[in-house]
Amino acid sequence: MGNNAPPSRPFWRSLDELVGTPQFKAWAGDEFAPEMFEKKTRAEMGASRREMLKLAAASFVLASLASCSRAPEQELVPYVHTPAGRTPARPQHFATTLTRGRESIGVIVTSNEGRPTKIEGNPKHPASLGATDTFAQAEVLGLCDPDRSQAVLHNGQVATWDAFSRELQQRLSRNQQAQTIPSTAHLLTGPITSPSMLDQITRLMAKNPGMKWYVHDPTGEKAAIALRSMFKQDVQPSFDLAAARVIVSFDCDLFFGIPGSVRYARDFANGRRYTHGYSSVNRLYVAEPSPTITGSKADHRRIARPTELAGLIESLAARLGITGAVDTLKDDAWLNAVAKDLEANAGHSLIVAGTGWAVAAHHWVVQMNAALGNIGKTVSFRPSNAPPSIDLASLITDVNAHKVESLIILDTNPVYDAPAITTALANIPWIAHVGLYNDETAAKATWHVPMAHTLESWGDATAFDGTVSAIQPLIAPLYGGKSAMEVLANALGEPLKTDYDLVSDYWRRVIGPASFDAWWRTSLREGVMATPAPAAPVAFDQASIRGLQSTRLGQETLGTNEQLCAVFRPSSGTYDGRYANNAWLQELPDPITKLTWDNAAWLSEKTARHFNVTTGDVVRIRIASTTVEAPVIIVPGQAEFTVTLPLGYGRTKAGSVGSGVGFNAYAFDQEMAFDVELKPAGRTFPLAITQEHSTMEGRDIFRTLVANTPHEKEPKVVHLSMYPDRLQAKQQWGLSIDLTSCIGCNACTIACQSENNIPTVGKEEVKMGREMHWIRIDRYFEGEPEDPAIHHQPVPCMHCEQAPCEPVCPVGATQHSQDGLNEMVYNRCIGTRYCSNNCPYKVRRFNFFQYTDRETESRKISRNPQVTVRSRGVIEKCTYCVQRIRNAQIDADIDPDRPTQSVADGVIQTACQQVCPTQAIVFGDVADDSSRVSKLKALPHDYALLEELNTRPRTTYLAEVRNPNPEIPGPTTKESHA
Amino acid sequence: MSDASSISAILTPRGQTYASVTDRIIGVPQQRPTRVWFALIGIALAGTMMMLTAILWLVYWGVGVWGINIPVGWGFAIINFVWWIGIGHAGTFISAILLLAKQRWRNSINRFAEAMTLFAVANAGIFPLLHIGRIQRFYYLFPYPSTTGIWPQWRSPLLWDVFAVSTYGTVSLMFWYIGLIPDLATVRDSAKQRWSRLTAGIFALGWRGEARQWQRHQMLYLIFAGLATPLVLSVHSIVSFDFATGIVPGWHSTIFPPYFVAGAVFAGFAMVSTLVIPIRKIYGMEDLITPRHLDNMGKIILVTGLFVSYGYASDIFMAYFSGETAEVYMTNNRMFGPYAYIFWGAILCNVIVPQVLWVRSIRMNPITLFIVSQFINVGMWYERYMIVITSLHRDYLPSSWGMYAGTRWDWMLYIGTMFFFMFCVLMFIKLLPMISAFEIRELLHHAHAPPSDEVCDKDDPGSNLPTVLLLRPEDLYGTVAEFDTPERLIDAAARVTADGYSEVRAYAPLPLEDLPEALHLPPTRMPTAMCIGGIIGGLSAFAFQTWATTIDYPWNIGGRPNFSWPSFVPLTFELTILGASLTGMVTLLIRNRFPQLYHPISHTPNFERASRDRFFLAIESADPKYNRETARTLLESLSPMAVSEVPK
Repeated sequence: MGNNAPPSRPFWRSLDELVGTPQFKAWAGDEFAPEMFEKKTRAEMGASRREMLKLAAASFVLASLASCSRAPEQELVPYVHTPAGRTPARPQHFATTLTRGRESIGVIVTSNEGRPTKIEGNPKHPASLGATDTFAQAEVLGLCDPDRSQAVLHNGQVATWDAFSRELQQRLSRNQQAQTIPSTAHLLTGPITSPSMLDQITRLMAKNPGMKWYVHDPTGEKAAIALRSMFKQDVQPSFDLAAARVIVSFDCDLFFGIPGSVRYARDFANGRRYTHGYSSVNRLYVAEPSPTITGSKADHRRIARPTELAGLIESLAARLGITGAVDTLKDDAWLNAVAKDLEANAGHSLIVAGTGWAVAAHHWVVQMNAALGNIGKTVSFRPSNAPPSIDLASLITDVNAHKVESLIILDTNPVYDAPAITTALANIPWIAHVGLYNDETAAKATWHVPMAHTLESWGDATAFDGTVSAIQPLIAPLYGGKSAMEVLANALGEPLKTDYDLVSDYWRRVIGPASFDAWWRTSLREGVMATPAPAAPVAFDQASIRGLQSTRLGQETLGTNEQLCAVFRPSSGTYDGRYANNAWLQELPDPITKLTWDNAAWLSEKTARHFNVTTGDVVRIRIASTTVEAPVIIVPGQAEFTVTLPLGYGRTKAGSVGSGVGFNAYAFDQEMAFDVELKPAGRTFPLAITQEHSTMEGRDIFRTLVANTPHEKEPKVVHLSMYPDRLQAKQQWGLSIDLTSCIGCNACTIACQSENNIPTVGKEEVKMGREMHWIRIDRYFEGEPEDPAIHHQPVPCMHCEQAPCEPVCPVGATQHSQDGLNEMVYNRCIGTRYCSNNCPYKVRRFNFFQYTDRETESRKISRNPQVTVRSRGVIEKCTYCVQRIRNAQIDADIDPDRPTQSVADGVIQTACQQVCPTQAIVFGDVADDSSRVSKLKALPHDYALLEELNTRPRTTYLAEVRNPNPEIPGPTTKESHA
Repeated sequence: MSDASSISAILTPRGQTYASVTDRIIGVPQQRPTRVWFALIGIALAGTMMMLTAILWLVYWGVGVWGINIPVGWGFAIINFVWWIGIGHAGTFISAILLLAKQRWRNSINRFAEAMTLFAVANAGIFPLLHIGRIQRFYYLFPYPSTTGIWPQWRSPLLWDVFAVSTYGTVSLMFWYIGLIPDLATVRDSAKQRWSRLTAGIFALGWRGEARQWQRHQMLYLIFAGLATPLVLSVHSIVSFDFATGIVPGWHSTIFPPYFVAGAVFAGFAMVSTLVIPIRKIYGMEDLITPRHLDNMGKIILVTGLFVSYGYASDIFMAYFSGETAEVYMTNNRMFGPYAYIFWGAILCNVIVPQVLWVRSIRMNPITLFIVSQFINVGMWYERYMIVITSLHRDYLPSSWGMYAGTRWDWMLYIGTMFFFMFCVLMFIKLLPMISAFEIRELLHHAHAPPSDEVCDKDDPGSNLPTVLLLRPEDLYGTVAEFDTPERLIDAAARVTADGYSEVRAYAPLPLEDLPEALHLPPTRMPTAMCIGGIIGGLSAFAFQTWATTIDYPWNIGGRPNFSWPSFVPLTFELTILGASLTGMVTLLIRNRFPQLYHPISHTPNFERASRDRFFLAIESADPKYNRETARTLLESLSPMAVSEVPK
């Protein structure tokens, strides 16, 4: 519910906040009033017993207040008096933050009786604005993963935290006592944005002079290096897509996986929303070798091999007057138009390059943005305020120079995602690994310490734009893990400090003890911290950047067009591999290929034909001395002679879900990706693809129209019927999906999975066509297979007013509610599957086996108690989150017999709507003309899917609006339906 | 009648007598089973075990062990259901429709075909039950007063199916049993083993071939035929509604009901041929099931095959004619898509191959007819595969398209049911007369190829026995005369009633059309009773559906009105038939005072031949005009083979 709860009902988000309420103070005071101990007559004994119980309850509350983060064991005692603000069976909501490398996203977590069950974006957090990405949603499942590491290990043997703590301190103090300068103990982490943790690291490095901090980022290293070389310090770029009228992306997936991507998607979508027509919408150019969701939304998507892309960047730089750039594509119409558009929108444009691109590309891009006057307007750079760190590559040098005797690895897995480091690690005498899983790196470490999940620990994090937000635990560590900060505190010789102490102490120092308590409470409630001095954007010295000697990005470094080259990118499922054991993410179809439970080598159709392979054939890919076998998948829109290798698969020690899934593209040396050898291996490998058919077969399914062209609304079809209208309730629910906004990010699918307890089925079942997602995203390619338009169309249940599924059910297990919901009664269902056959949208799902895991204890905690867990043999499908509708009606005291009242517009948000980064999905009352959804449905380009079947769907679509540049002819400007 | 009798004359060889045909037919279950039979039943049992294994596996793990998925929610289960139900149609068609059409040649094969119907329906019934996801909740399909207050959803064709198939099963069973009763009496009277006599006697209920029994039996049999005829048409029409009422391209077709019915008869006759051709060879019944029978079956296969071909053509034409994108795509996809081999297989087996039956010699030749039948058995399975799978696997949204293939459990269950069917057929052959003996006798009677049994009667100890005269009058049941031909019986009956006797009973091994008239029997009131039963069944079905949907538990189903009367019609129809049939069956039992395992007439010497080749006329002592001497004199004057006084 998060952001949409009525303001009249404030809920407390922390126990500290609760303590502050006057009611509590008064109540607690009463309990300890001296007179209650003086009542001694027998007649009053009953009353005293009750008072005694009250006292017990009060002490329990106080005890929990005292520990705050860790639930005391007393919590097992049932409530005698419910704490204020706590209503049994009503969920509570707590603000916290989830991080992934440099990304941090503020969230509000729903907690049911102390169990975190659903994650939603924090509307007050700039990286979220209420939305999240798929990874944040799936953290609920990650939290309760039974495969998570559950014990401290010393050389593979179970040991204790105390033993580890002693040895860690000895290790460091020995270093300090021996006055070994420089220190032989070092730290290896992923990118860290937590101010309090950075403070810890600064202090640790100060205490151990010469200690090096290696930062390993398996996905964003090149961009970071490029920016560091330009700014002479670590900076974090942030873009303002809301201010950008023209956006040019060179293989940068703005909407996926980079810090701020959720916010970027929102700003981009806001830039092309229907206000008074589509007269002033933004324009997106994307040049990329392999389709991304960002590319799929481009008005002009240019398929460019890496060699060509380098030429495009440099030639554009030359056209924008960057010294040193050579224009090699003088007659390129596309580039001419782009340059013209950019110049016309100087200061309101934005050029971005993919994080995996060579340092030089980033140099050019920063200079181009500078030349267009975009810096400070659409792009800014913020100092990270981190102590100096070095990249992982230098660790090898240091190990070889015998400068590393002890290494603390915090929450990163280099043995898997940087295999080159493995030999070096073997030469380090003492390694402590702190991580969620007993993974590949843990296996090489002397010590392994289970780490507390983010939802189990205290902390803080900095978002892409510098906003700091708090991390607070939702549950005590399930498996007794320690947070990274607690490990660092041990290294600092402060073993008794909990992560709560560490974070609050740091901020008490920063804020000052006087105003800290109130500030802290507000920060925890809001999730976002009002930091005293928000980090200022780095002042940009144009001259110093101009002075940088940019490397040429020519064919001489990138190979020739005849060579097969490889593109590496984090996968939509496991990202860089860290989510490999998350079944939700493994089963989430890739937005472009719709592949689940695997990664595959992406090839264009022509290239595949050249190598005489097709989807499902295994090929042997060789780069330098490494050969990996991988299945091929043919991807329309892929550049010729370019193979895309998604990262994050081929884990060997991920857990029972993720081990042995896919191939490991990290095995390759990514610097050598321009000389790839590919040979068919002569066998096939079955791939579980959820959508095998990618074209619309000429059917009117996904409609597109062009901005700035007159679009008369087709006269609405008048539905004649002999039947009377049966839907009598005052409020009638409906959904509008804006295809212009939908970027195909899958967040809705996984939010729905989390909200509605949807099970995963596994690869074999997906292969059989039995995936369970209640909302799927259909992806269509339109036009030439070499350069198609890519469409994303989310398809939930349409809640047809004349639903074809209902009359065919022999037992009435599916029927219609008065407020227009197509309801599914699991208890009544006998599983004939007739409804699914008769559903033209094929949104119904069937439990062919007992898919829901009813055995694993830890899995049970993350389920939504308001949604039935389905058994084998029943059909299920989207309910429009009926539990949310009914809750809102209960909250609004709506009596079903007196339908004069209504739930206010916007109070009910379906899970898919709530999570949507671009607000493409709007739910509401279609009987009320003033509701948002009614207004959207009244727009001229609103249409119903398969309208000709007269099912009268309540879910309708707004045709996709594209804004092509008239100067560029191309397939993406085609209009499929006017 | 002359036409019918001339056909009979051709169909049944001369020289056969009532006794000879009866002995041959009844003789088969009396023989010791052959080694071949034991070998076959062993194979059939092994296959049945395979079927049971597949069922257990399915029930334990869930329907996921099959190849079904989304979008193809129905697979082998529904294909096999329709296939078996289709096969089951020939039995009723042969029994009922050909009976009404007075196609007497059917008498040789109808028992067999009816049994086949029952076994096919039993096999068909397995699949809808097993295909549901929660088998343990199958009873939700029945309108029982549940604590939830919910009734079934009457608009669903699947619910119609439940009622149609169970009505069809029940009516077919009753129809078969009614036809079997006189033959069971024959088995009772001629069996050598005591257990055989006992069991047959119990199931024969006390059948003695008395004129009133025959009268009611024949009336009931005829009305059952009349009821079964629309029933057989309705069942496959309703099965076709499973598809035709759907929105799925390839299903949504108005030609489906007739096309399915024709397909069912087509498949059914092919299966009858498949079974009859080897069996007539094995049991040497070429003279009972003659090439003429094969010829006629071949003609029906050819005609219904042309109906089916027309259905295919119409489906294809309508798809293009409609111009509906999804329909056109579906049709193209059927013909040229990944399952094109199924389509062309169906065309080859059901359209092209049966055309050879235009040639008379191919129809008459058991081997060629058998081969053609095999093509049809396979082809009709292909057809159902085509309808179920190729329609579902690519419907409206290409994003949801998928492929389907049966798993090993699908195949095990499907093949297992064939073995179970084989098991049932083998047991039937072994336990019951596979040809209707009384109807063959009737055939002989109509062919005017009557007894002339004198030769074999010579050494018959039953004839010319001295009559018993030791009884006191009050112990006497009556005086009974034995005749050798139906004509003599009818003459005698007419004479006796003309003399003013009212308690006269005539016993015959076959129904004689003139006998009731000769006995001055009033017309049976069976039709009235059945009409009332049918009306009660139909009205209550309609009223119940109306009450359940409008008053007791109204709910919104797909925006349809509560009172969706057209949806209530199939159930109303089925229950009309069921009501009439059950009433008929019950009336038969009550009016004949069945079961009546003892009757004094059995004391008549030689009476065991009353179910074989002899005719008896009894003047009962209960008759007010009865006098031992007069009665005896009268009967002896009617040229009987013997006259006896029978004790109570």
